Amino acid sequence: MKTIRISQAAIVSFATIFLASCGGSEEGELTDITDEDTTTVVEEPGSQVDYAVPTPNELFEIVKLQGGEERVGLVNPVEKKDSYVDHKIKCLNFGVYSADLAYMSCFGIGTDFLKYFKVIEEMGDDLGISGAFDKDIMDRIENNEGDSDSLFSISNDSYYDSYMYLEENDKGVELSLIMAGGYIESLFIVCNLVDKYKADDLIVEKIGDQKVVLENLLDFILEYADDPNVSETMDDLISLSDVFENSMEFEESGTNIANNNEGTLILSGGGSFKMTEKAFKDIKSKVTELRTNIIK
Amino acid sequence: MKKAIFFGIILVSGIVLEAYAQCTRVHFFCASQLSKEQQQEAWSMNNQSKSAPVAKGQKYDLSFIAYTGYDYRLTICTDAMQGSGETINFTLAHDAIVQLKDGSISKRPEVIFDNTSAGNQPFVKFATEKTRKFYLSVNVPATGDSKDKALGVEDKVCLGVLLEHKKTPALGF
Repeated sequence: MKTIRISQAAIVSFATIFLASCGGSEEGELTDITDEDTTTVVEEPGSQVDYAVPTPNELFEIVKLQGGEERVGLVNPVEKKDSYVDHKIKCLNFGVYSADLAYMSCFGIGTDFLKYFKVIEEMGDDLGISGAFDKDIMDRIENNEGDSDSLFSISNDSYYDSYMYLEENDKGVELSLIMAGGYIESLFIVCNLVDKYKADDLIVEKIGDQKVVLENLLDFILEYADDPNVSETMDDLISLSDVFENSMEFEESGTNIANNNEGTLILSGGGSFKMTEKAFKDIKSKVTELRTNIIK
Repeated sequence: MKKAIFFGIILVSGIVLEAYAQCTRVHFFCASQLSKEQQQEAWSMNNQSKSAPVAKGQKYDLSFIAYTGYDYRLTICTDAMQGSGETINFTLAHDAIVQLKDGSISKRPEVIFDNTSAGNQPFVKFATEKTRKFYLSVNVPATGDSKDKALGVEDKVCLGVLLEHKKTPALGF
C-alpha cells in the first residue's frame, strides 16, 4: 500500500472540486438529521492521505445504467500495439487497452474481447507485470465468450489484480501511467457516446463528474512525480484539469443530510460545478488531443 | 519427489506470508464483522477498497469518489486480535465547496457520519445525489496485535477499508 505524502499546497493545487448536478433521483421517506449549519467542519486531511480512484469499469457501468449505448470505432485498434516500444507509451497504452476492454465487455462487444485481452497480457509481459494475471484466465474468457456479464467481471477482476500486483511490487511509476492512460481513454469514449450536448443528459453529467476523479488521480500519482515520465503525464493531466476548471460553472446550494428507511445516509445539495456546452466541447477536444498523443 | 513437494509448500507459504506482510488484502475480510443478514445483502466490492499497514493509535485518511446512482457501504476492520476491548472509530466527511464573497472557491471536509454516535458500528451506508469526493478518517486502536506475525513490526496493524456499492433502488411505481 502506497502512502501519499502531500503538502497542503499540493492539496489546494490539485484538489479543486468539480461536481455535476444530477437530477431525477427518487427519494423515499427521508428524515432530516442535519444540514449545512450543523455539520462538523474538520481540518483539511493531515499530511498522509491515500487517494483512491474509481476504475474505468465503474464509469462504464454507471454510464450504461444512465442509458449510454455502444458506439463502434471508439477503441484503439490492437494492430497498433507493436508501435508502442517506449516504456512510458507502453504503460499508457496498457491503460488504454484495459479501458477498451472494460468498455467492450460492459457494452456487450464480446467478439474482440479475447484479442484485446491477449494484447494486454503481452504488454504486461513486456512491462514485467505478467504475475498479475491468473494462469487460468484465458480458460475463463474462452468458456464465457458471448456472456457479457462474465466478461465484464473478468475485465474488472484483471484490472484490480493488475492494480494490486503493481502496488504490492512497488511499481508505482507503471501504475500511475497505466491509470492515467485508462482515465484518458475512458473519458474519450464517454465523451464520444454523446452526439450533442444537452444540459439534462445524465451522461454529460458523468463527464463533468470526471473532474473530481481527475483530482484524486493527480493526487495519487503525485508521489511518483520525480519520475520524468510521470511528471510529463501529470502536466498533460493538469492541462485537462484546467479545462474542467475554467469551463464549468459553479452552482451553490445548501447541503442536506437525511436518513432513509434502510439506515442509509442520503447526501444532497451542496456547492458544485455544472457542465455547460462550452465545457463539454472543451473537455472533449482536450481529451481527444491527449489520447491522440498516446495512441499515435 | 517429496523434496519437491516440501519446497513447493515452502514457496507457496512464503508467497502467502508476503501478501499478508504487505497488508494489501485485509479489506477482503472486513465483511466478517457484519451480521449474517448484512453479509447476505447484494453488494459488489468497489475497486477503491484499500488495505494498509498503520501504526497503532494513529490516524489513517483515505479519499475516494462516490458516484450518484449507487448506494455505498463502507466497512472498516483491522487484522488485530480481538480482546483488547478497543473499537475502531471513524468519521466520514464529504468535501464541501462554497463560493466566498470575493468569488473564490473554498472547500473543506464536513463530517456527515461519526461512528462513535452510532454505537461504534464498523460500517456506514450512504448515497449521494451528486458525485463527490469523500474523506474517511480512521483512528486505529492503540492496542491489539496484528494476526500477521510476518508484518514484523509490533506497533503496526493491518487496516482494511472495504467499500461496496450497488445500484440505488428505484422507488415508487
